[in-house]
Amino acid sequence: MPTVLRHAFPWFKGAACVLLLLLMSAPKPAAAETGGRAVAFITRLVDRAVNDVIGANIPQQQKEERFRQLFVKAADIPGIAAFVIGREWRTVTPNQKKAFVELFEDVSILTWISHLNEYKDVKIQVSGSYADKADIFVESAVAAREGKPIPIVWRVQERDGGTLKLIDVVIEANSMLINTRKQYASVMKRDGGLDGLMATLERMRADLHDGKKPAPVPQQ
Amino acid sequence: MLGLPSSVFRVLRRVTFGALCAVSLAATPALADLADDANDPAEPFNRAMFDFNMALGRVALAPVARGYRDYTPDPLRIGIHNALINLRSPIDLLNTLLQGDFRRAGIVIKRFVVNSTAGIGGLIDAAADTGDERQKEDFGQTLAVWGVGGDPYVVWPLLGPSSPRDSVGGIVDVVSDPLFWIGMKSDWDMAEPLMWTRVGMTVIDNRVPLLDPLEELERTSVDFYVAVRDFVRQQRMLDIMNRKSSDRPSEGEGYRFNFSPQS
Repeated sequence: MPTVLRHAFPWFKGAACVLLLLLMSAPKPAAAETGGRAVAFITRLVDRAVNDVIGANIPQQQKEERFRQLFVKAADIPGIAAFVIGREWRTVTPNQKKAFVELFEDVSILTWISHLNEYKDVKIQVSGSYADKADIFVESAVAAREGKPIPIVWRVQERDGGTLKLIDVVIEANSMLINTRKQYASVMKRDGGLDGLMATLERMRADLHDGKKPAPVPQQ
Repeated sequence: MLGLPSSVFRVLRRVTFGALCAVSLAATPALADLADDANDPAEPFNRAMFDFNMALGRVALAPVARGYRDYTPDPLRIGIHNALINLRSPIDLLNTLLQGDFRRAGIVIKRFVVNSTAGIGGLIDAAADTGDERQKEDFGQTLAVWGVGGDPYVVWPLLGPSSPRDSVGGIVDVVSDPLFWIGMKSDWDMAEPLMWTRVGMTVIDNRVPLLDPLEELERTSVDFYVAVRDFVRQQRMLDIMNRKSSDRPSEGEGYRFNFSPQS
């Protein structure tokens, strides 16, 4: 790199940052249309989760049923399941994959019902969306018990035929998908791969069903 | 400014800006770090400390914080929270200056003046209403801006999650706080008790917003320790980059999700 350029490089980086920001804020027409659909998709999903599941005066069993229907349709559960396992997914047999996806679906549903029960009385306000090359990010905020609203971003992907699928929920800039993946990696490393993880998840499923705290993960 | 010749000052500012750029660029991939390497060489020790802190939190701190939250009138509690933050202004100011960020240093000064007067000694965050939000800074963040990396992860007994960099930062924060020296050196009898009251109230005040989320996270995570470690690191990264959790990330930042469950 010529000396002049090398000196200018930090400034160039700064300018590039600004340029990127400007580009991001300029809406692309096609993306805007998909963005609008994604906003509607999430608004409806949140509305149904809050009103038809969490707010509904029905037994826990029925809540789980309703939420499962909603969740299975909206979220890309097999894709998420593969992602949270990471590299090891390639070495897993089809039967194991099937068993894991089912277990993961159960645990996810119970986890989300538990999360949503925390936000029982509050409203989630969807405010807008932005997109990168692959995904659409729907922005929302949930009123906190006190203080500022908690920002929640719903990461959505458009699939062939225009179907929208939820792939991640980012709470206060923390990706639940990445957080889960890191936890799973740690448990797999310690408890002997996917089988060990599944044993732990099975315990967790049983405990979340009973509304109990999970047994602590055994230490090394 | 600061008694330095302006040319020296310009160079300094250039250097800090360069360091800031370097840090923010270097920090970008870490936000979505997918590597299995957790950069936690002291993990067995850290886990033990984490368990100890959580156990102590459950039996000692959490009940106190819960009582404080549930039995103190909200306006008083929020007032105390605001006042504690106002008292931290010297540290926020020092570190915005050390980072060469004079715009935000100005906001810290403005906030301190407005909140200490119109905000009745800091009880009301009047400045936030006019858009001047808190600029949360500490020396660990300054070191990060200067290019010091934040790994590895360390959990201290009582003090909680940190890193070697932020541990040094924490010590500097204590000794660079004028209120600490007033508390230690003042002839006034009440100075030291007041200083410790402030420390105690800060610990309780920090715990209150974590009460419910921590319980919820523990219930719904397969590895509570890793879940907390990831949250702490991401939050720290946002603080260093002076980003709010509602800010949009930059293009290309974060992970890529390729739909391929069969592969």
